[in-house]
Amino acid sequence: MSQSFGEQLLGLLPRLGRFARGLTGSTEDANDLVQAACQRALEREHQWMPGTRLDSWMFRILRTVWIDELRGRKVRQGRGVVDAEEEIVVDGPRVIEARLSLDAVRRAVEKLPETQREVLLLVCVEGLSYRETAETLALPMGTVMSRLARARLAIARLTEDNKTDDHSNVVRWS
Amino acid sequence: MPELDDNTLVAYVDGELDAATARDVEQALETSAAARNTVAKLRSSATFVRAAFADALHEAPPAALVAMLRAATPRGRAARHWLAIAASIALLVGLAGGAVGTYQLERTTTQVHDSMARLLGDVADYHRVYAREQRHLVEVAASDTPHIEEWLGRRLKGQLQVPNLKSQGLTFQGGRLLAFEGRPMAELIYTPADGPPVGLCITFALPGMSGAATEQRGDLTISHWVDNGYVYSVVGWASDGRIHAIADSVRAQLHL
Repeated sequence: MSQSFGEQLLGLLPRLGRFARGLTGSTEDANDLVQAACQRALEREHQWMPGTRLDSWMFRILRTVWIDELRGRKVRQGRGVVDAEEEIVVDGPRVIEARLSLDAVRRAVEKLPETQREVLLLVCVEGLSYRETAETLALPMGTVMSRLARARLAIARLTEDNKTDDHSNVVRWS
Repeated sequence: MPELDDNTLVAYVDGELDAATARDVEQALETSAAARNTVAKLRSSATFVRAAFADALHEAPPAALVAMLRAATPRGRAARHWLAIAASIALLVGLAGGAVGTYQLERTTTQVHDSMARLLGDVADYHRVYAREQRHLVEVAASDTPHIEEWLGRRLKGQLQVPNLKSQGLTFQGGRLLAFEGRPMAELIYTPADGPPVGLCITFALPGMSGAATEQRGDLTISHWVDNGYVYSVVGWASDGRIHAIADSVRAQLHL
């Protein structure tokens, strides 16, 4: 009936991997990050309050490990934060050719300021509510909303120039 | 009249505003093409971003990490179990309070669209809460399917036969009873081999509810349709195409 802490972490691995992939922008870094975060979680199992959400707790640890330990390595390798629109200019022709390929969206997400990217990933990809996101990142709700809106509009600017049809989310059935 | 700044609009798109404010925003949007444009951008960007990272969910984790977690020793099981039950009870009390609050909202006959929007909002909220449960994913497990069919069918006043979605790669896990505006709503929960659960919610359609569509609620995709006085919604963290295909499979099998 009940699962061990390790088993519960096991169940979360796909989502942790995805969040890490979004934060780091590479599968290799994401694997390192998830590994480090799981190790830290096992060391601190006693700090997790049963009955609360383990996923939020793990996202928080993962993000902390990223900021504390691994991100520096990447920045030192010369990959700084670039504004999303700059990316569009650089890759403009390719983006048009690819017609909003998901790869282009991933690259745009990767180039967002990190503070916006983490909010975007938690809300849009991991499905956390604004409140859960605010708690996970220790931010005020208003900050979550403004970062999320800025991130979403930056991503939309990428898609806007290439849009020929209506991207409404409502798909009518025949 | 609410201020249609980007923060309000993103919260509106994600279903994070309370019902009254959301209605005010909806009204205000009618007179602002610029704000409608922003809403469309905020919606499409969420869809693109979610789709862009959908595949990442299926990447195999490193074997060494899996081995490390399998080796982690269980501890504190009993205490955790009881705390989980207490948390579930607290959650149910909260949900029941929410349902009563919603029911007391004033409704007019012209608010059919709103009632569908509220239903989809509730379906998404319930799914977000329950689909993440590991030990309490369902109220009655699939091993007791005859009971689920009898029990939830009775609450829905119809003949319920749990759809077989094996062709969609989904395994039935069980069901739970929810409520929408004071009426029973059944949720049948399925899981793929790898990935988050998919839900099928069934409740009584309100007068005027009709049509079928696939749309987004925050990060969730919902396919819904009305048939013979019931409204069906298939909800999950998957692409429009995937949810639509599951909904098609359900529609072919299930008619209360």
